[in-house]
Amino acid sequence: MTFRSKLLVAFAVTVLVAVGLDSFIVAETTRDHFERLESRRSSALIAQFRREFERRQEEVVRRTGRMAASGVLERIAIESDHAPYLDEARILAAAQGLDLVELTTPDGAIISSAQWPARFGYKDEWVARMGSSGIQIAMLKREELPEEVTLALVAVRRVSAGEKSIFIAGGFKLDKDFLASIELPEGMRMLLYRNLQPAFSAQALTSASGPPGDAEKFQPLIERVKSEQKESTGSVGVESFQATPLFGRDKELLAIRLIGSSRAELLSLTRFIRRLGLAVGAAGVLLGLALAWWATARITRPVHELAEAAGEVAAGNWNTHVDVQSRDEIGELAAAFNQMTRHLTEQRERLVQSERVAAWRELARRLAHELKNPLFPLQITVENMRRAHDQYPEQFDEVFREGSATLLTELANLKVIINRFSDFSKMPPPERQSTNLNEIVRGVMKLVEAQLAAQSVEPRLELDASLPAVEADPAQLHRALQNLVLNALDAMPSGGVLTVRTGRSNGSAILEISDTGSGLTKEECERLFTPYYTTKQHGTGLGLAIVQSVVSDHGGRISVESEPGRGSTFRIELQNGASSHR
Amino acid sequence: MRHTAWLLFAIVSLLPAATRPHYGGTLRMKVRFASLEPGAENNLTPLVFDRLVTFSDSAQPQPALAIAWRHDADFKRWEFQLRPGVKFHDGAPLTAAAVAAEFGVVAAVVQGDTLVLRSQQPAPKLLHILASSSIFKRSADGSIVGTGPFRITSGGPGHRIVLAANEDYWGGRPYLDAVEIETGRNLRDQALDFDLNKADIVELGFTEARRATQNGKRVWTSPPVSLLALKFEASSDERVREAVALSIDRATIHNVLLQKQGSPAAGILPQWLSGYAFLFSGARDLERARQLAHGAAPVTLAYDPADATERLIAERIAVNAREAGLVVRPAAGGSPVSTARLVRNRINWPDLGQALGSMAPGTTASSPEAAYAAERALLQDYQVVPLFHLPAIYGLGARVRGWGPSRWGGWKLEGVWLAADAP
Repeated sequence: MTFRSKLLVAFAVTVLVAVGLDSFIVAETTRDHFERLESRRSSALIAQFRREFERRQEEVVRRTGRMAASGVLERIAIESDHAPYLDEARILAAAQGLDLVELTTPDGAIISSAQWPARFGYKDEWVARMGSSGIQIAMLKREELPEEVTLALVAVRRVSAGEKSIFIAGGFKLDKDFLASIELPEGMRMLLYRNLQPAFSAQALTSASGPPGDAEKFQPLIERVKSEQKESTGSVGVESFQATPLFGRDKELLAIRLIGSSRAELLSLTRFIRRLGLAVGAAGVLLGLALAWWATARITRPVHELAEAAGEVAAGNWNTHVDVQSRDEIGELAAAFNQMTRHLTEQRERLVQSERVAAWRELARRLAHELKNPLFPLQITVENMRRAHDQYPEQFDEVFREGSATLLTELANLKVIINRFSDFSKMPPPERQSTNLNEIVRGVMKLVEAQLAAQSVEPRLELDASLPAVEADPAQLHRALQNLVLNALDAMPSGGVLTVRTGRSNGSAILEISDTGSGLTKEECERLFTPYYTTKQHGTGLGLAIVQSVVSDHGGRISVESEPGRGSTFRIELQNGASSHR
Repeated sequence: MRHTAWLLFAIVSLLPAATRPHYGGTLRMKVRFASLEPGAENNLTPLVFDRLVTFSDSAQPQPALAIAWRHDADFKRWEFQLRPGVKFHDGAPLTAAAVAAEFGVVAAVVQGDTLVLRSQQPAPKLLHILASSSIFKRSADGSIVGTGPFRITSGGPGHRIVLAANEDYWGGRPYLDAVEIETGRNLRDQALDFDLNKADIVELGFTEARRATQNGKRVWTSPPVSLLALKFEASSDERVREAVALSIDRATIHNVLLQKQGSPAAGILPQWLSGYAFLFSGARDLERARQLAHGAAPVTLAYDPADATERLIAERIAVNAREAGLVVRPAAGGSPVSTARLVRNRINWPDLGQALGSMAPGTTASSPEAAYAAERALLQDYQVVPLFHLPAIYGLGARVRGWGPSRWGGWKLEGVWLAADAP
């Protein structure tokens, strides 16, 4: 990943986090605010329900009291036979607009029941207990009806005539009609769960319009209130509900009131805010990215230029200049870079110049050394010839003949020396052709067979028969290999083992020449391929330079591994096939 | 003695006209249902159609259109001498030929004014059959006419039947000029009509009868002449049937819902008729009912929705059964899936065997012992559970006089007259 990309990512992440955090805080704050409003609205509704409930309680008490005071019941109380009054409760209920009216004896035996006429004679102990307790308020009652068990708000009054008395119980059913009579603000609804059996029953839950279709969804909230016996809140769909337990006379949980407030508006607003936040965030991110793109371009351009310039320097083009005009750290860095390249160029020029001088000196030294050796015999021979001519004329011819032969020999040596220098300076480019390395190895080893035997050197050939041909100049390779072999022989004057290997590694052809000679020091290894450098007494120092030149011209690489006393191994790597072309 | 007779005559002559029978007036009746079909067994058909013979309250055959009869030793040949001078409502004379024409299945031969009926098998109970067979003829316009004390003047579709007095009735012209009968009125509405003096005679329910009595109204109650019973489907579980039967608290229902009218029933025929009804037990055994009800399927109990008392009784049976652990669901009308239903059968016959046969078709009994055995066999599998023997109750308006129905509530309106100055 480029520096610019990293910078861009860093910018983008920063913008994203900032925008996201901002949207989150706004959304949460808004939601919190709306939920507080919602809570206040629910509280107001609950208070309204309580007032309505109390009003209904008072209404039940009032109507029951009205029935008790009607005078009809006193006559019934006096009568010992209540059979004629079987229909009385129904008549009273119709007159008072009550859902439930029951007349009972003091022990609770039903005289007449509006809600279940056929239940006469059976006992309603709740009515008896309520009537005996003298409680004047209406309370929740579990009411059994022919087809169902329901919940009712019931008040009981005692009617006495002399020593005789009866109870009258009147009430409303707490059903959907009761809920429908309570006015609710828009978006709110009330449900009532009649807790009349141990297990949850969907039919026991009713709203103002009848049993809700999604009654099962209320089960967890209802179960929680049943187990905790206290108020609880929960969400069902898009509504939040406050569930309040309603207890009967004996503190038994008879009903659970659920007041629901639609969160649709809140959710819609929250969704809108979230969408707005996302849109703003997205726009912010896009804008941030664009700005980051622009900013990173501005920031990274000089860095990029610096990197390119550094690359140029690494490639050898030291005369590289970075054009940065800023005055910041990058500008300082560019100025330092320019100064560095300028210094490097100057140092290189100085180095080249000094190396050139050194090379000329070395060349001169080598030439002097090489030429001095043949010149000395020439001088001796010529002086011998002159002395013979002057002092021993009779021997002059013989001396002349021997001297001229020596002169010719030394002159030939001089010529060889000169040719070598000439050859090195005029190394021709390789003429490539499909070349079998193994064949070249065998040719060279054949040439040095006699020398190997003379020096008691054992040749070992470890050639890879499957080695493919390489595109190379066979004559130059022959010469390079010969140089290496001769060097190896020079390194083993007292005999040893000369190993020549061919093989393949990573798509390259490998040629290794190992000797068991005295080996080289580390310093010698480092300078080994420098022209005119030699470790031998009579070498020109051009042999390995020529080898390196040949290998280099073939796009190959030569290396040496050696330690003093452990021999040396020269390793040539040549690329196979056409890829070896340079 | 002569002086005394004159004195009595003078006293009678001084009595107000309202206490003496007199002709005229229209009697207004309200009933739940009535039919003018000659074959229908109700109180209306005897007003229009006569029988050859009738039976007295003491189960003795009485002359009607036939004034005399005799049969051979093996009851295969019967001779009936018809009452002379009787005319149908269209003026046609009653003849043996006209009567014989209506007895399609019985070989009838006319010998002057004598009708001879022959059968292949002995027919000792032929008089009982004839006592329930209306004599009628089809007039030229296709309508059915009888010889009874009243003739139909309006009886088409709807809920209103108007009968006019038969001026030529062989038993003498009825006192009433006409009878207006409104049908299809439930008991509560009839009671209301009665309270508002919109009707002279109405049927009353048990509660309404009590209220009417408390309000000083005239109420006529017959002996228990109908049986209210539970009838189970034959495919129902016998254990469930027995459980329901044992769970019912008849005494409380009798005291409260029936206002002590009629009597709890354990047998089919009432005690006053059979004399052995007390041998059947209708006692409640809740413990045994609970044992039998264990694992029982719900029972659907159908009742007549037009009868509020029946509905209450059905609901009370459900409450009783609930105590035994049974689920009984009352259902208005004849639900096709009902397991049981409340049925009410009218006892029309003073004769024990005939009465039992009418209650349980196919059952015959020639003696009280045989009737008891037959009844016991009928009740042993609880397919029929007798509940109550119920009376017929009528509310009588203040101006109605001469109301003398048969023992089982059969109307005899030819003797009824209306007091002119009734309040």
